[in-house]
Amino acid sequence: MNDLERALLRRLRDRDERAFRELLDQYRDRVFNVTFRMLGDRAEAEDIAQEVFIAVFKTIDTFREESKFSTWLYRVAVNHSKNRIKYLARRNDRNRTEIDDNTTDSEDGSIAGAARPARPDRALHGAQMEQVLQAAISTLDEEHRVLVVLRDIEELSIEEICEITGLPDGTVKSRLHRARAALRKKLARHVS
Amino acid sequence: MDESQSPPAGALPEGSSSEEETDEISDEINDEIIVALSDYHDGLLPPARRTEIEGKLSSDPAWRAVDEELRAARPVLTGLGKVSAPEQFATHVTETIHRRSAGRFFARRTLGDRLPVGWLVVIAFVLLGGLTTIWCRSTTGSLRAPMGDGPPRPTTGESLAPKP
Repeated sequence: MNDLERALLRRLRDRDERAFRELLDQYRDRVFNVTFRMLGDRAEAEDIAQEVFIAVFKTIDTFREESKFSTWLYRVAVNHSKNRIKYLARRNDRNRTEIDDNTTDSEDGSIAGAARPARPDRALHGAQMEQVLQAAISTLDEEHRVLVVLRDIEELSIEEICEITGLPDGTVKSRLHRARAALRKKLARHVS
Repeated sequence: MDESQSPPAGALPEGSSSEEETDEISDEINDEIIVALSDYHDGLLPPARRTEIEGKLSSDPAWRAVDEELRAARPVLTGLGKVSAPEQFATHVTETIHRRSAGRFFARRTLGDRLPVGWLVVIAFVLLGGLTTIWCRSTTGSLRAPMGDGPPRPTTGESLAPKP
């Protein structure tokens, strides 16, 4: 943890509103990216990202500086996202629109709701590719989902992911590979 | 049924726990290979271990199969970019905090943030000066020496001593 982070942390502990705005400016995109990729829905992601920052600010006194501040923040974001996934699964919320209604695997194993391209060899680009990949991620269980989001989208190191998830190094690597392999299969089925 | 075709005593039916155990063992072996190859591709291994793994890859089909799968699966999410938070996100969060806490959330701030310390010091000096002035001019409890009008004080110990 560097001196700047320490100074910011001190001000946050003193409930300094300006420090809170600085924290938001610095980390909002990273937190939102994680919550959006985990939940696959903008409104849900924004809601959870808000809760993450509120929780961080409320519990800042419990942060013991044993890890990087960003690691702690990611951990809070991941836990909140996982809790929301479980909550939504329990409620079987019909209002989940963008992804959840579209992500159940159909009988042939393709990703339902992700538009089938007319020319699979050319069409999977840009927004369509984004939609298909996001839909595929949302079909993974949350333990695998979090690993691909942190490693392949947030580009964190395996060491940081171990700290965030509390999983051993080997488990992270093997689960990550299995998650990627599962994604690859889903995408291949979709394209073919 | 011919006795020779019947399953031997103690044999487990299909889908039994022995089959599951075999799956678990092969999963464990696979995991070891995955971990080793992940480190190999990430360039995290010392030269001796790299050579050892390259040997496995050239001789062991199981290692080769996992390696092919690993190489193919790695770039699967490369097309996925990062998304930014909505523009008004920071404002929304701050508003939510103020609304939920009725404005008390940011209350515990540093003294310097909450009070105009400079002005307080000036006021304190002015008050102190005023009090000192009042104290010095006061006839009761004044720091000044007594004026001449009072009764004469005894100056020697003799006059105070009790007479025999």
